[in-house]
Amino acid sequence: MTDAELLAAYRDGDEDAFAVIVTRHKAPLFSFILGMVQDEGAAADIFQETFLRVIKNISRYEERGMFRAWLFSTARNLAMDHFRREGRGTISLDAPVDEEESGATMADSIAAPAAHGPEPSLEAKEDREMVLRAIAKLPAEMREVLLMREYSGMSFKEIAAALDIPIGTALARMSRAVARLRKDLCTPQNTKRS
Amino acid sequence: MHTAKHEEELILYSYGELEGDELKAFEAHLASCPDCSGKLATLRAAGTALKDAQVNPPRWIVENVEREAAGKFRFTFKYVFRTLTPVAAAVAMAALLILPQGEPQQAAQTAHWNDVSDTALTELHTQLETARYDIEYGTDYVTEFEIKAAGVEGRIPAQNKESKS
Repeated sequence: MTDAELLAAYRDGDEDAFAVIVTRHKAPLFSFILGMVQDEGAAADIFQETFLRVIKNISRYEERGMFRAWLFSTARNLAMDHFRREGRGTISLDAPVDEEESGATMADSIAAPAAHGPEPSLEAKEDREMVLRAIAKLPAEMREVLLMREYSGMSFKEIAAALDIPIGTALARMSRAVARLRKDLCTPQNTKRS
Repeated sequence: MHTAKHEEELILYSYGELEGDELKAFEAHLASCPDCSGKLATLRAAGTALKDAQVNPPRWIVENVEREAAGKFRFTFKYVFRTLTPVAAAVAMAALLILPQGEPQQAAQTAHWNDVSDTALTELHTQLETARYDIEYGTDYVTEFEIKAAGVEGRIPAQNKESKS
């Protein structure tokens, strides 16, 4: 069933339909949020609040085949609210975490078993951790486009609509993100030893 | 020559969003542009790293969300009680109060509460609030009857009227 069909079923009283929606979107959505806020505790809160808002507004949602956009833009706005409360726009993996929270970040997920495929080599893990650290250092507005494209599966046209920006702006932010990543990953301390 | 347009096209190309003549033109450019080639490799490395880093949220968070989604229906009372609850007992008792003396009842008969005494309504209200509290705070009780706003309407098991005590 499509998201639209599941939402319609849920509105008609089928609780299981909503569980299917959650199962379908939970990993990419949580990963997007975690990539934005870089804190598992905050990401869990934002994930829950995102779906609570969906539940609360389900009767007012008009299906235009854009549920994913609605879901991810809601999460993105909550992440931005989180940044404003925290008073920061960029997150570093080296930033101190709340001692009461697990503080797991996206780079920590590299230590956990991969969702797909065989266990990567140690060198591959280090390379990926290096890339994730570089992504975490990107300004939020650059990082959100990259993360949203990778995790939501939306096109850049859809992302631009969800973020309420011109597609040229979305592509420009992505382009600057790539340039920064390349510069960061190609610095002497990050280049592989031959 | 590398231009700003190539920067945008690189992004679209890397995600398969470039088509037709634009795709062909960019592929020709890519073959001779080390800047674009380097950035494409960086973008693909980022995509791989992010894909491998995809994780599920904690299980308890998912359960919270699912519980909240189920709880959306608590005030329409479309759930089913797993055990006999005070609410079901109150509904049955209130139904007995309005049924004619000695009249046999049909199975799953709808009861209309317009003539129910104030005492019975008050008790019913109390029992319903108790059930609502239980539902809201995590017990597994659910109910089978629909509650209308003003009167009370519900499906109850067939009951023969018993003498009032």
